Amino acid sequence: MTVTDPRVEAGGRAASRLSALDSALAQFDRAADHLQLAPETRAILRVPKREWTVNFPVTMDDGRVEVLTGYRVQHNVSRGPAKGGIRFHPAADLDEVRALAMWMTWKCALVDVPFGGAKGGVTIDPRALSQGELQRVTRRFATELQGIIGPETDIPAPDVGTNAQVMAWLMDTVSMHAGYTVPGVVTGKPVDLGGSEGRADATGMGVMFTAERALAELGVSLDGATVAVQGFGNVGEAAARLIHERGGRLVAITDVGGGVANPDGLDPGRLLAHLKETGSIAGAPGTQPIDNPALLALDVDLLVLAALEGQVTGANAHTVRARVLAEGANGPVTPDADPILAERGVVTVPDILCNAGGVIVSYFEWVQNLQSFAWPADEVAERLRLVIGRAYDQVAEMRDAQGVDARLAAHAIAVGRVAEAQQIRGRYP
Amino acid sequence: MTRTPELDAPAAEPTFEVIRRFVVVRGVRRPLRLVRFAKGWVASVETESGPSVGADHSPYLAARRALEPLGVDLVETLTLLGPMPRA
Repeated sequence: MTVTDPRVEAGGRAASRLSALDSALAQFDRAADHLQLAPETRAILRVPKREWTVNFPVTMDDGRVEVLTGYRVQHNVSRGPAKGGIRFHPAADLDEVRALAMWMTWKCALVDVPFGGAKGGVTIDPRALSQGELQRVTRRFATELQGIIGPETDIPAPDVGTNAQVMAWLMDTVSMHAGYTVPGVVTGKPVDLGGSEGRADATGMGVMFTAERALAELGVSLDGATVAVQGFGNVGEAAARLIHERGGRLVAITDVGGGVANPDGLDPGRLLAHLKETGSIAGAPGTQPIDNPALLALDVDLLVLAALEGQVTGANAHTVRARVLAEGANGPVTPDADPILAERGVVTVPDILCNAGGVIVSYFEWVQNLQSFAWPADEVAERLRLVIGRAYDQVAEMRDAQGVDARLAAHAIAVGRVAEAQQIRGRYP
Repeated sequence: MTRTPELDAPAAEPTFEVIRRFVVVRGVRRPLRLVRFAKGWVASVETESGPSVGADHSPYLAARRALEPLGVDLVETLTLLGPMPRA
């Protein structure tokens, strides 16, 4: 098993003083200002509802005992159970998890699935672990989250550094403690264990659908469009493959180990084979090397950011020349970069819309688990297209009616829906 | 007659402002009245069963409550109202 990690380190991320939490709070404040939210509603939504930090020992293969730190943050549960991924990453910390949990709240509200927002993380490099170590870390972390996660309370999913196998171990651990199988405790499971058809490609498929819509608004067809993709992990690989299938010409892709370019087009299938063989797409036959700064500055129709947060900032936004920038990752563009991109005429598909395909199909998986009924892949894809398409339409309508940018439109819809739910439910006691 | 200066004296600043909009809901044009106070908004709209009213710090959430009996959701409200001045 390979745990794919879409981090892009080649060329490094652009320096920015804004952390993920700074960005998330700035985006929330802008939406709350626009909506003129009541101060008390604003105060509630600005902070996580619950957060846990756990320290736990794990025995490594060589007999050493390492004490690891993990986090779970539930930002808001007004609209339903908390939902959000678990990432294994050496840079994972509480503030990052807080930011990601807040974005999950807005993402679920924007696409109108009945979930609140959560996120989890363990500060560890999964690439440095054996399969046995990875399994022990996962099972012990799942045990630390006993009583916190559950099908009706908080439902994790894969994120950076975790995958379907990790979700299977999580589900199995919870089930062992419960004494019966609890498939609905996680989404993104293997299909054989109650996972949904299409879940693995769902985020990338959502990126493709929304990018295609944004290009169409500019009169550009995805068929024949030039495309650059930053990141070749769970999201970037699927997005690249699906865009390629729709006729998009992939001219450059970067991943954690480097980047490849070919003005005549790259074959994502061949790159994946090279990645499985060598651990990176770098050096794939028939390609030229490219680093991140060069990829971001390419004159392409579509730039997909599918790596980590903070890739386009106030320091490098002036180099972006793409017509459409699709945010496949969470928070890849910092708030100080937004006005620069807008001035340059770059159309941004905001992250809480662009990469919502994952949580939409996670919702489908949760529903299928609760009903003990499986949908075929084509039905999942069609329902995903309808749900994310409706959200895209609503953001576009709001953007045009209010004369605001798409990010503010998306956040205002999402924050407004959560504020409404919060107020309708009232205050306990 | 007893006068209460706090109530009867002309205010140096108006304490409220009325904004009138027309919204078209399911093909029917209806007047929507939004009253801006220092601490929030009151919205009202005529429906077949009488006036419907909503109040909130946010003009959008106030209007959404007023428009709810007509089957108008938050996104439609945001779109119908367009940009609003601050309270």
